[in-house]
Amino acid sequence: MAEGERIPHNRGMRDLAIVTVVAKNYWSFACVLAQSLRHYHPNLSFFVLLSDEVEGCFDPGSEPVTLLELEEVAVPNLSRVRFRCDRKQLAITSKPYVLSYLLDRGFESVIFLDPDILITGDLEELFSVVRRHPIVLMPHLLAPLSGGDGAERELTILKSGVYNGGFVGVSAGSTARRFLRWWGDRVSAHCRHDVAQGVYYDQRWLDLAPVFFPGLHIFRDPSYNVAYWNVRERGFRLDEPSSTVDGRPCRFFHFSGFDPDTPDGVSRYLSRLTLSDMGPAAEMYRRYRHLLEAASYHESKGWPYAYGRFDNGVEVSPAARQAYGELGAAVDRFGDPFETAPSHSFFRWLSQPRARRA
Amino acid sequence: MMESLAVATVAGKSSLSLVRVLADSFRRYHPELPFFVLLADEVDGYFDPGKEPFRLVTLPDLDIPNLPRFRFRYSQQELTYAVTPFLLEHLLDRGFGAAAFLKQESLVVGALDPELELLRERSIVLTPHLLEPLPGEAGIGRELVILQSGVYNVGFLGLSETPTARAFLAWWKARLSEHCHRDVAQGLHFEQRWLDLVPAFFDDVALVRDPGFNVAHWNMPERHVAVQGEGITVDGRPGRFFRFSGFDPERPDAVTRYSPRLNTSNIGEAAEVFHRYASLLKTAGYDETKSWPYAYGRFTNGQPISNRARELYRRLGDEAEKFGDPHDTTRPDNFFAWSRSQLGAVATLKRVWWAALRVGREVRRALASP
Repeated sequence: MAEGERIPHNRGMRDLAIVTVVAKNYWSFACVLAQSLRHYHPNLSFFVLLSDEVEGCFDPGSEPVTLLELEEVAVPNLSRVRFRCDRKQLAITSKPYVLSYLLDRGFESVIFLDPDILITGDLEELFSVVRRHPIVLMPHLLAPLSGGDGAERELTILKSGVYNGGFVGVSAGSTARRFLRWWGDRVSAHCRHDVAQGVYYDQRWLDLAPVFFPGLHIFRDPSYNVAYWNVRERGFRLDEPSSTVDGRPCRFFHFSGFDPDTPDGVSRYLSRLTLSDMGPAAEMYRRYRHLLEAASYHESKGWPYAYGRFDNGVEVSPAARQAYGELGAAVDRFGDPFETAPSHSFFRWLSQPRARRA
Repeated sequence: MMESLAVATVAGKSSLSLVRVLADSFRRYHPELPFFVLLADEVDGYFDPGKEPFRLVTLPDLDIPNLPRFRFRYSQQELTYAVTPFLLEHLLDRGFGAAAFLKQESLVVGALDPELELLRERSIVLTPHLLEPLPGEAGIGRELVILQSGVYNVGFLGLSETPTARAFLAWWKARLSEHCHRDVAQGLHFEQRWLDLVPAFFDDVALVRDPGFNVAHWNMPERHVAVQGEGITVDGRPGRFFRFSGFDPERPDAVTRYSPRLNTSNIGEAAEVFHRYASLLKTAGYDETKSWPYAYGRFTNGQPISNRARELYRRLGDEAEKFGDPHDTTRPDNFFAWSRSQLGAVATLKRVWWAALRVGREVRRALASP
């Protein structure tokens, strides 16, 4: 890529920021995203919100990223939320709040990207669209699917949401603020997998956003956000030096649900897919795995989650998180739910016999 | 020019009074535009189409491949919904430059000019259930209900003759040929949830954001309805049309069976619109027409077709071809006989499962006792 083509803008640092959210076990993913972004946009501000704690596992200064912590991002009711949510839910719930936080810091535009995204081309066109709109979303699919499994694949999308939560762009202004407040309230109340109730983490809420927030832009360029759910339709090729979509440079590839330890698998969300179903994109998955490995994937994947255990070392089970969530505001009497020693602790409450119903 | 735009609805004959009321109310404000009713049923001598305030379209007029099989796959309600794109396509095929659909349980209360103008300019026009975020905890719950059934409401849908609208129809027709039932956990809510994909799949989609348009139980708490004589305003602007989804004229105070919170004493002056609608239905023959039978509800031997038989048929896929017209019980290899054998087996299995569930419950109860 020619140097002059790369960064036509000479805007201040405050123009646009990119942010992702990870727990420590996904640190290598965030590093690979940061490196790929820096390759195309070396001067861009890139933030990583750690929905976890460093606990001495790595040196945040060693990577070209600015690390953010949950406290400074002001996720509401954090002491409760980090217990009620599991690792995945906490990362997702933080998204609207970290976007608000970066707008508060004075950035004109902020883009959230999932950590399992790899930047493969210049993003300036996308940036200019985000700068011109209060909210930008990307649909999973851009056109009706053909083929015998078209209806079934579209239904999978209807179950999880029309717009992919792996990308959300906002620009400062009242519309973006109203959107982030609304999304944050919804995600804080309901961030789980419950299709029958209309919930799929943060993502199904976005189906309402184009109606509720006029001015929202639906970004429909096939060279962005190539992923297992659309790669068949995207005319993807692994040309040198860059990959292409229908002959144009591929801008970013989304390895959603990719598990490097399942070498032939594509996504934990669709286990029947294997690399052989990916056509020319299969090689992208192999390369991505090597990038993760070079970024110490095997070491970081085992780093413990700071909110995974009580302070006595007992693992916080999904049932304990759920029971805590169902108590609502009544949990305030327990104080810090991770603390086990106090007589009024949640841990002790859990092991008490339940009062029998009349 | 007069015939540049057509409006239509779909109904079975037991809903004839509803479509009479809708057609009359539409003609009052738009006497120059034709109003069509697709009868997803047979006349069977119950009424004289020539004396009705609408132009009749019948299922064979539409381009539905293998109509007997299509009809059999769906219950009456499902069929009424599944034929919507075929009806809109039919109107465009007849040469109308634009076509709009209104659901049968609607009342036009004012001129629809802004919306009809919009649909002449745009390929696809949709009406969202809600226009803005709902306040408070209760609002979150109500938004979830909308996410379960679809962001856009099929109470109204407008198309103009463009390649985009045609592409939309081709896709929606294909989906509704197989998938027009209610299965929220599988991403389905009849014909409606498919529309969530429309703004992602097609260019040139417009949303109606007029609060006087498509006023219904799901948005009524936010819309201020005022009635002065004949005039109805919503949020101070002209009322356009009201939807009476889930309204039962025999329980006129209930507003809708879908929301027990609402009744005519807590919806303000909108209650007057409901009372008027109930009385219009009575005048239009509601009591006479409500029990007129559905023509496709029975096998040729007179036995009713259960929803389970329809589901079984749907699941057969192309294999069902071998039964020919599935309503026909006189053929040697007929679906009726085969379905009886199959559903009998399912019934036995079900009893076994029920027994297993009962045992499970008892075990749990025993474990829970001290």
